[in-house]
Amino acid sequence: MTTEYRKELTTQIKICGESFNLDSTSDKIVKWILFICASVAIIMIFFIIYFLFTEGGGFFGKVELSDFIFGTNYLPSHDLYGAGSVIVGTILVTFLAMVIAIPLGIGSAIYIAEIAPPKVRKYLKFSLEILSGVPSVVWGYFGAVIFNSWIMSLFGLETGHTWLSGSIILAIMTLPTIISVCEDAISSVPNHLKEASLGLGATKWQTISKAIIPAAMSGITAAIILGIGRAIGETIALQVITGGTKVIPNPLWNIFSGIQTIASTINLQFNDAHGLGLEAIFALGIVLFLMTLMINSLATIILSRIQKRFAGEVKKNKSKASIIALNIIKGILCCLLLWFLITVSFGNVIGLVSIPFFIIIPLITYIIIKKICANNIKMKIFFEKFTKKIILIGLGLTCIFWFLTIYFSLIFTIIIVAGGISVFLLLFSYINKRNTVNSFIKKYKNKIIMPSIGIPLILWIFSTWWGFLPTVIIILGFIGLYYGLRKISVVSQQRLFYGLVAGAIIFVLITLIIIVVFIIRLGYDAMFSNFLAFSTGVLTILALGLGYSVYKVLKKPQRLSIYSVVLIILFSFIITLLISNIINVFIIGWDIVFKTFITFFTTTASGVEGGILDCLVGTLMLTGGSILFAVPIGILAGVYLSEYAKEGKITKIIRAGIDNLNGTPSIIFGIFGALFFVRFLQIAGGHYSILAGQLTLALMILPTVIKTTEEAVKSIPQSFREGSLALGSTKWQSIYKVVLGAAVPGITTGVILGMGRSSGETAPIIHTAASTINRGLPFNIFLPGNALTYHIYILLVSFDRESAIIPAGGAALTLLILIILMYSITFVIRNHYQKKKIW
Amino acid sequence: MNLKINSKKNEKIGGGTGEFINENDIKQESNIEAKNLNLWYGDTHALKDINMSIPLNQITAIIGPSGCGKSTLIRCFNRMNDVINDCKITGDIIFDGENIYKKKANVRKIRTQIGMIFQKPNPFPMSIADNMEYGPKLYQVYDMDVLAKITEDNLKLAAIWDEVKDRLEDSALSLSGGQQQRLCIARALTIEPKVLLMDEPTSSLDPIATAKIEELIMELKKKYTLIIVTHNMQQAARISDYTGFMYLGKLIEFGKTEQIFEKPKEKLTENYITGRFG
Repeated sequence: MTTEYRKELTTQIKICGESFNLDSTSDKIVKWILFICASVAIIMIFFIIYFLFTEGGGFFGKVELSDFIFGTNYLPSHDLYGAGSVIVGTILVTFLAMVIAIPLGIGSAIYIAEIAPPKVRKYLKFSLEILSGVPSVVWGYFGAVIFNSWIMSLFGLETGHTWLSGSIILAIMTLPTIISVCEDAISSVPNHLKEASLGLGATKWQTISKAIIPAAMSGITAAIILGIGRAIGETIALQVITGGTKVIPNPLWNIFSGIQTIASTINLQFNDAHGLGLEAIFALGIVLFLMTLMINSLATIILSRIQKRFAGEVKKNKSKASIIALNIIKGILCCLLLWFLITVSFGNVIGLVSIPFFIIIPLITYIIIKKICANNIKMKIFFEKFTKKIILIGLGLTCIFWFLTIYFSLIFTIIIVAGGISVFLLLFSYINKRNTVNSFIKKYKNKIIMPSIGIPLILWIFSTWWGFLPTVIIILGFIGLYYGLRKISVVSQQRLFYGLVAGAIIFVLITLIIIVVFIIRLGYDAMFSNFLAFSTGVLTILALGLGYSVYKVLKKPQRLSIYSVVLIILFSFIITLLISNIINVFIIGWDIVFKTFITFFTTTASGVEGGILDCLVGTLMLTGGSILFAVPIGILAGVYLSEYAKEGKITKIIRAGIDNLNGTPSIIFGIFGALFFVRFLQIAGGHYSILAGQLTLALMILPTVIKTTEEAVKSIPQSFREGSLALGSTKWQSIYKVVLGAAVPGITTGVILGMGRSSGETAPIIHTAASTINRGLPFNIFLPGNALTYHIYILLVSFDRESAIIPAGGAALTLLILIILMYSITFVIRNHYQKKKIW
Repeated sequence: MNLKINSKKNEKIGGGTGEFINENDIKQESNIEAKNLNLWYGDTHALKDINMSIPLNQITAIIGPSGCGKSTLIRCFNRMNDVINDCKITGDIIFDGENIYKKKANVRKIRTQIGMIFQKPNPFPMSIADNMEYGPKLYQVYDMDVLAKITEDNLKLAAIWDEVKDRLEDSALSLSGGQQQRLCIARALTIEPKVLLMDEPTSSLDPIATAKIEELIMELKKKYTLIIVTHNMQQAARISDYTGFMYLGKLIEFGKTEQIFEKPKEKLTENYITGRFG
């Protein structure tokens, strides 16, 4: 009787098994859909390039390239389009930011990856995530309102809008990127390396500094490069903090000079520009986009090399045809570069004529060299070994040299170039261990190269600030410290460096605390009419937190420790305060105490007055919409990359597309959105609309969703898939029914991170969705609307800044709370599932 | 209690066989046959000219030192190697008179008839009941009663019903390792396979759990053809009827278990069995 159904089951399985082949069309269709989703990123990169070049490419025909790049006056009203000052500004701001961020970032990463206990590590990583979630416009608010005034009073300046303050804030903004990539690189150093070093009797610090850091060096380099990429694209914060003076600092190291970057220029000029001015904006966009594209590609290449190295992959021999093809491409690129230089320096006509020369001359040289080499083996070896390097280095040096002499005097250029080379070689010697140049540098770097270049440079620069004598003393102090360090014991060395490294992470945490505290201080005035309401809120949160820990302590069957006693006393104290507060609220009257709070969240904004309800709704609409577009595509693309993609050319291109979309500056998304969604697709009839903003933001967060999905799906053990396949499921069935289900926590984390990012963005919505004209609640996605970030931005750039500080603070606090809430959810999800996961 | 279940199970198996093993199988002496099977992982030649025929309704053990290609061979029988990139296979495997490596072979059908148990228990991260219903649902069996019956019968067949009957909605990951492996066996049985491939099914289990699984394997022999990869020679000697010895990707010797363990023809086999290497 029990076996009755078996016959039916067997036939059923037989029928289904036959009708569904593994290579069935449905599975193929699914694969194609996934492939298309994965290609969205690279298609969008092409669209960005296409639209930027069609709009901005014509500009180069009308204005000389040399005038554009080297001219220092950017005045659209006078038909002057010299972008030199903003290009130099971008480079300088990024440079100083990196000088500050690199030591802090590497130090923090070492602390998190190697020194911190696991429990602390979890919370440190969480606070770093929050730091990375602080929106650009909130940094701008903090910098312009608070930090600039500190700089002003500290150095006795007339204005706080300086390169220095911009760089410091920018450094803190790029820190999360640098720290997380560095930390990944350090943690991915194989454990056996560490054990080998410790086994030889090295102390922990010696192991870190001599074994782990060198092994992770290329990852750290990639982290720095990614940080640079992030810094170059920063728009809103720098625009607000450094002020709008398009000048090259004079002298070049005058860190108190005002400065403007490419990204902020684009943002500032986009709305008013028309005709040639608009084309100039897109030309600037091209410059910025190409800069980040190159930087990100470089980082991607370095990172992919590390993965190969630790995976022990053997380098495959390239086929002869591919080598020839590669050389031809390189040759063409070199010739194009030469032609470009000639065109820039002599104007278009000579440049155009000179193309043939620059193809013929290298060819002839090549043939001659070949002839010589045919007779002389020694020469042949020499050329084979060094030609490429010599030509590349020569070409590069000439370019840089010649570029710099346009701005600076000859002597200074020599110093800069020499300093640059020595820094480069030092870095290079760390990355590449078997190099002939390396041994030379190693031998002489401490004794000759560093002092001969470094000391005069430092003397020169710092003596302009501090005078000659103090500088000498300080340098001598540093040298003494350097040699003194070698004399002290290994243990004290370790203590010292642990202190430094812990100092770095403490500094980072303090900045986070400072910004949160100040935003709360400035924000609560906008939200609460008197202190009573604010303190009630704070006390409630405190009471909840303390109550939870008291509950945890009491749950454990153990003797009461001092800790728990203190906790309980504190808890009762807070509860008493809270109750007295609540009683007070009832005595004074609910509506009086909370009046401001209620108005703040129920009325719509009208500049300085009113609440922020429309901004809040707008932010939620924008975030929700962007998630709606990005999540399905992102998840499917992530699944394609981890499950279907075979490692080949096409997958490489798709990955490059995603990486570059991730690194594209937000302002580029902004002007692309304005071009593509608003003007080209005519969403909402060519006007700004919430929908256009949602689509632009969706593009921005797409890489985040794809990457986290890919990681989450990849971490599901292969045995689940095999178990499902062995039961006769198709590939898609096993993914859909088993793998995706198990990957839900990871994917959710990615989605919420994307939400956090999209709710904090300003630059992409300024030119696509945001407007203060529409005073109603922005529920209609075909109309423009206000958003929290835009509200803060508008208040910051308004003329009446003093009275805008408090309402902007309120909006910033709301935004910060929103984002911290989202990140906390991901934190909880991750912790919960990490405990539960047992595969 | 235990005895009662066993006798009941035997009845059921006795009643079941006539109905769904088709006549072809009974006539044929062997069920699966490998002919000139070669396999490469990239440039590594992992299987070299394997020729063997697996007898019907018997337990065939494949033994050999680590890295000799045992698992690779067993994964060829239901085309699980398709999952691995860079894997190239030549030669034929004949199952039910058809070459499973022919072009346009219905891989899905092959996998329903040749089930597989893996080295590490791999229950899906779902409830026990969901794990059991996963297979039938793939073949559009949605009738709740039928699904419940399939679950119960196969869990009983895998001798784990008593342990889990009160907690069918619990996560399968909450079971112990041995229980998980028996659940996986039960799950493989839900889709009525003819052959069961077992890739070191007890290597990650303790001795007691291993004994239970071995008992189960002996029981399953009555209904299924079993192929077991094991690195435990005592286990092969205990439970198998036929044994194949592999070394460096080659099938050195294949024959009755007693013959292999008592009078091996090849020197290599003897050396391995007597523990001189491996």
